[in-house]
Amino acid sequence: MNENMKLEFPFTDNSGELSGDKLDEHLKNDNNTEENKRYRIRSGYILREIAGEFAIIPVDEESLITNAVMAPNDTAVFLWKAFLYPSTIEDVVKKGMQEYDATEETIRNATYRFVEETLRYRILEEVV
Amino acid sequence: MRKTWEEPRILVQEFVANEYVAACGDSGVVYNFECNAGDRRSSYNVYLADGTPYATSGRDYGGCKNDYYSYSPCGEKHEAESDSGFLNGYMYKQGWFGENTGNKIDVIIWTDNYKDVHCTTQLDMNKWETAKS
Repeated sequence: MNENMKLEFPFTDNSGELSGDKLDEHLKNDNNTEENKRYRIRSGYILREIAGEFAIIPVDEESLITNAVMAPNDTAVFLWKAFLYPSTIEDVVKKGMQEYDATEETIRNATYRFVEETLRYRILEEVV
Repeated sequence: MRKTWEEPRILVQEFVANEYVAACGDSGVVYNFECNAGDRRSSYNVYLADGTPYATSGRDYGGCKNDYYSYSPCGEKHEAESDSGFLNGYMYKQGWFGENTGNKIDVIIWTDNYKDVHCTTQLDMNKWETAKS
């Protein structure tokens, strides 16, 4: 590597000027990477099972969804329950693979879409 | 046994106003209004809170086209919807010639949609008995 070239990782903390294997290890442990972000369901929603069907009721006036009841299907209930406590997407994918007969890629893609959509509607929040 | 994976979906069902509730009036409350102000054997001149005669003998020199001449309590309970015309007012007992006598009595008037006169001295509507709420 050219000695004048300096690698930059704008979203990671590399104040120790690490390189090579040490940098790889540092990146794995860096809490700012996408894989390490933890999310949870905001407190303004209640999930209830009524006669075998699940319903999500927004109870917070600040919620973007008001005057409505949300009816999740089975996998949405699984994702909802998984994110009731702060979890990374990878944590949830691992749980999903134990519980469902599907490829890792299918579950990961669906989980990413779930996180993206629920963040947009301010149902999910990132835990810092 | 592991379950079959399906694309996660959340169906949002919005509430729509129920027509039956809307038809019950603005609050849907129905009171058991007790027409109990005054003595059943006496007649009274009833005025709205601003002094407009509502049910008077007409000898008060105010006069009013909607004057019902006098009011006497019927003593009955009427089912009255919350938006069927309740007005604040007061009344006096009529003398021999229809004039005001005695003390001013504050009342709430139930007009039954402005076509009758019933009065109560219970001025706190929260204490009224309800037929439906």
